Amino acid sequence: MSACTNYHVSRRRFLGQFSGAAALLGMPINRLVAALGSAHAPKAESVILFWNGGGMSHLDTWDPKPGRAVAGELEPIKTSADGIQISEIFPQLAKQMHHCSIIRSIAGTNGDHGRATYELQTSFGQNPALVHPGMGSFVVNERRTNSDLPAYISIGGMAPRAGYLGQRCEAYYIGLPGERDPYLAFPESIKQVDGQRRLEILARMNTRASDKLAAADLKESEVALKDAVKLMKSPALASFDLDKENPKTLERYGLTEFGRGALLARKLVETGVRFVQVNRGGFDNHTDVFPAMRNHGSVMDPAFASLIEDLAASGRLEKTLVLMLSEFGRTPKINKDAGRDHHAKVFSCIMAGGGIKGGQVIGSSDADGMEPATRPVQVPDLHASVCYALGVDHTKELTTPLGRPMKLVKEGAKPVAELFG
Amino acid sequence: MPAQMRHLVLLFSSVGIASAAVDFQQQVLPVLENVCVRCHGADSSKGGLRLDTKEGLLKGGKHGPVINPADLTKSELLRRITLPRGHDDIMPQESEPLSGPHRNWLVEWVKTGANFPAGLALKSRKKEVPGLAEKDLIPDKAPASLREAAQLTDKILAAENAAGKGPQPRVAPAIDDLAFLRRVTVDLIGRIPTAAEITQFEKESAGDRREKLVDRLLSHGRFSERWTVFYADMLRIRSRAEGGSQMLAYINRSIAQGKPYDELARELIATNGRPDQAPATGFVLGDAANPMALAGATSQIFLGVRLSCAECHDHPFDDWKQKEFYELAAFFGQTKRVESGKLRKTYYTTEGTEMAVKWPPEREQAPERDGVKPKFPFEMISFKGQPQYIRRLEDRRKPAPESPDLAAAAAKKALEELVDGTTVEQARRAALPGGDVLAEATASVPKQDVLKSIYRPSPLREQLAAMITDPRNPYFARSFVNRVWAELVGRGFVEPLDNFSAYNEMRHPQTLQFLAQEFIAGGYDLRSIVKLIMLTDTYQRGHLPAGASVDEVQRAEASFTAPRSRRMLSEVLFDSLATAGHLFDHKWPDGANLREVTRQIRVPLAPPAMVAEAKTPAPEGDEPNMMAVKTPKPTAPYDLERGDKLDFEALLKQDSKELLAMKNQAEAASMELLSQVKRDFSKQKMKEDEAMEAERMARRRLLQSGLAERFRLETIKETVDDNPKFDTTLRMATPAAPSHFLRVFGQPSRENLGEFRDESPSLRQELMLLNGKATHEASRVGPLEPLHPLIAGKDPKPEQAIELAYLEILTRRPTTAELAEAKSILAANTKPIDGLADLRWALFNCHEFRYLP
Repeated sequence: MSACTNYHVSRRRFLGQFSGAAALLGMPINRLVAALGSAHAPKAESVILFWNGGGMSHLDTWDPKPGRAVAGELEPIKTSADGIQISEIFPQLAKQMHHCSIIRSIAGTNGDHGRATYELQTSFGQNPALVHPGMGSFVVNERRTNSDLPAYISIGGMAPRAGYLGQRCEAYYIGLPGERDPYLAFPESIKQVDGQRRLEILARMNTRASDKLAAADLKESEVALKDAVKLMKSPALASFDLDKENPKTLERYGLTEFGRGALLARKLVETGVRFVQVNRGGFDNHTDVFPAMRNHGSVMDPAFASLIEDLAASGRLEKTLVLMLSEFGRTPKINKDAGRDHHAKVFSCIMAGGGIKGGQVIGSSDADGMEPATRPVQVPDLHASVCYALGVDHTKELTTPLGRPMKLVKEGAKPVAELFG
Repeated sequence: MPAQMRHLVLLFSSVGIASAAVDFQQQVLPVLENVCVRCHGADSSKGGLRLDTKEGLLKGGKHGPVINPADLTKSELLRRITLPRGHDDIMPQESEPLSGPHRNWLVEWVKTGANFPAGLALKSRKKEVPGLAEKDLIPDKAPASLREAAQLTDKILAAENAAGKGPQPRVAPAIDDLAFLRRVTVDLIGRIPTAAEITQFEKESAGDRREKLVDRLLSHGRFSERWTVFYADMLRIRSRAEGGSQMLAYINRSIAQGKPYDELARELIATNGRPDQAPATGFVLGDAANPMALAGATSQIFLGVRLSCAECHDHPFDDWKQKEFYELAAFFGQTKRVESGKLRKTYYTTEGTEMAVKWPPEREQAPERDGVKPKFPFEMISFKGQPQYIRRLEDRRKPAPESPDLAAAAAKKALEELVDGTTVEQARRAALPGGDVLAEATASVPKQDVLKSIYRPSPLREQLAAMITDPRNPYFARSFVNRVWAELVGRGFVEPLDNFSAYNEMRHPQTLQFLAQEFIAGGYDLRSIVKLIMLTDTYQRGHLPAGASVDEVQRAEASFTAPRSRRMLSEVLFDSLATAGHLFDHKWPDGANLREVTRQIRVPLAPPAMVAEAKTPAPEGDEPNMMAVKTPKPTAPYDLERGDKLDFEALLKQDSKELLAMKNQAEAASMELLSQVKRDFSKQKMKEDEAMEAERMARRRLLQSGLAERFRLETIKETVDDNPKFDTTLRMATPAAPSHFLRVFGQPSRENLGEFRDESPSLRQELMLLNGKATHEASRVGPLEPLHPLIAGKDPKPEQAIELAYLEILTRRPTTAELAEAKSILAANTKPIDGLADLRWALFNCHEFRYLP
């Protein structure tokens, strides 16, 4: 109900009004330069985040340990980047490795799914008094979309919430990639009904109501209605559709939900969507981790590799930061159920595009993948890096609706300089 | 504008744009008084420094001046407050470093000359209970009825407005009868009125029909359901959390029973046990029995005080100390959450002996940490004589003298039961299904107090609950009344609703205090306070007309002379759509609406047998199997308007299957009854283990095949009887999924404190109403609804049909112009019935439907 703090200024306007001022208040201009010691021309315009829920094994993906007892059943393979090896479950991606950077020294702090997910997605620890926005939300708070489509789209499951940034920065959900969202068009059974005529009647009624009442919400509601109708009529909607894709393309990405999600993500960023998150779970492999990882590979490899390949071929990769994250890694020790348990002390991630330098590994874990050996990277550094790639000031201070000052990314985070060459 | 916001605006305008204009009174003084003067003031002047006077500031301390007039930016004070956390010299030393804006205010202040008004002496701030200073407007005499109390409320409110500075607010006229009917029906039973209810209301005599209507709706079955939503938001009930569904059902039942709010609060705070037997434990289980989380939740929810900021440091905007937070948390410090069962987990709470809350805080890494002694940080009001409202409460609660005959009969019955006894076998039978095994077992073996040994009560939390709900506690009743008022009038006296603080503005403190007193005197009865508010002129006022300036609207809303236009709660909006569209029942005869539809389905590429083996059905039917490969669930396109219906009654019955699992935990294993149960349980467990192993092997095969997640899409055609029926959203599992209709229209996730309904409009909301199944079906005119004969019968009466559509959807008749427009809409279609659907669709989508009159 009424309970918004700002009962007459909607949360959206409140933030719009004040966050700019907060930036002036809190910040000397652009600490970015100071952060890396050099000027940086941001290249990334959009982000595709693959979220692998459950805690993906670092040892069986980006940080293999051949010859060690902890290595398990999977072998490393060579890649198109000199001296870099990744797990055999990624044969196609191996050929794109010259576009990709791997970080092998993320020093996580949390072995609990909920808390770790929260930190990986927001850069902050959980706080009972406040919800921090996820990566997609804070990115679109700083960089709106430049198409008719929503700025932030989440495919195939839960995206983190927008928290104090409010409704405007929430993700637009697509449950099943390529399958029709019924809310984007009039119901099939009334297609024969003249929708335009209905909209005209509605506009007349609303104008009458607004003429009678001095309520600010009605005006906001009309803006939302106009946006909605614009979206329903937008040619950009065609990018949600996978029907017209060449069946060979679909096949190349893999006939899975994840493959379709990756393909859809590509099409959406091509249309100007700022942030796309593709969600997939099933990485909490306490039992039988190796068959599970083979399966994960068979799903992820064609999709991820085709995405990088296609973006690179069209020249779009420079402008699109692609990254794959999970809340933590898994124990080097293989447990009695042939599985691996939660391991946060060190894990890996992979990134490509958006101006980052390909074909490199940043940091390393120790011989058994227990702890960072060199160049530990803190979790919030990842968020700072995403901001840096987009030219967003990660040290910017916003103000929550309750008046609490809050950094965009947790205090002390630094972009990983090596990513940017 | 709430104080804190005003603060911010000042801050931004002054510091952000023209830094010279930092405001000493508004910004610098509170920081000095809150943080600095404590150690650098009249009582204590550490380092010889005093910051409470101009002289002290200019003189500096024994290490030298703190302000450098030659170069203000090199001032020692400025250096000290901007040092990194943990630096030896950082100030303040006895609390957390200054937060961003506070630091920036001081920095700007120093840089621009450190101007300190001469003659001013700052004082270290002490806690102050907000809003109790004045009480001259509150009458001493108790009102004779709720109606009189409502009149007094209006009178006090008007007097407080009159005493206000600046221009007087514009006052909106009272709403008409039908608007009142719509507003009250929505607020009390969570949907708009039906045509029949409109007729009934209009038949009643004009004199007292408003009060009669309120009484009628207060005893309506949906009242409990509508107000369960209120409590669920306030208490953050999540049906998927441990004990969440049971708690929801318990709240529903408590409202239906008219349980006093203080009693409800005591049960929520103090109960230990299992959710299905003691569903109030859902409150403690909802925060996993974590003392810190519960201290924050308890103070914020029941007292409207945001203490949780003091968990990590002394409160930055307020006077609460970290130690006080820990002392409050200590009341929860001996409560334990116990988990049992492997496949089906069950949880309960009980009381241990060790104090989990220790001081100093963990992050300080002190060599030794001691258990904290519980201490209630809030002071009770002390009165000279007993105030009339507390006396009225006590009179109301005097136990009715028991008749001697009844007492004797009860004693005789108890004796008979004792002599009769209960055999163990009887107890066991009674336990399946639904009986209370533990209670029976206790009865049969009185010496072994099994029940108590498992679910030990919490004396600490009982003490806490008593102090929180004490009528002399200045926060308890006021914070609740503030919430109810806001729910009905559109904003609270205090905003945010859970931020009572000397630093946050309180509007109309005497009106709030009067209402709180009446709430206490009325026995903390929800229905009475709701009725009192509804009988006020304040509740019954309309809005300011177009043309009123933004300033006028804001002033009138804050003065409660013209309430804000409220949007219906998401649940209420959906149920209203279903009510006016006749969707709670089928509105087509069976088979009358056959339709061929195309639908996409997923065909897995793995052999069907392989898929089937990899996932055996979960043993209990509905429990998710944590280990299974997720097979994609076929989703219908409009699932976002459907929900899982909860059976509140069944949830409060004991689940015998869960009991079996629970018994495994019981300590008294020697008892025949319990060992029998335990044998049953291990047999069941063995079976489960075998099934799990088989499933695991099958899953390995599927995963190795590389086909586990591959599928192709196939478009199929099928014939469906398109004749949907919807359930009320007030009994759904809650909160709904994030993209569900209810969430899109503002239902909170209820994961965090201070999370309120988001009423702001959004694109997604518009899409869901424009194109939703429910809107579409509600608009179509079905043969089984009253409108049908008026538009499609042998003798159609289009004007009456239009009028009925307006009454059903907007609770009013169309104006002449609207009638003419509607006729033209009907005429624009080949069949008038299709035109009526167009009209209804537009009515459902228009502002007037969503926003209350």
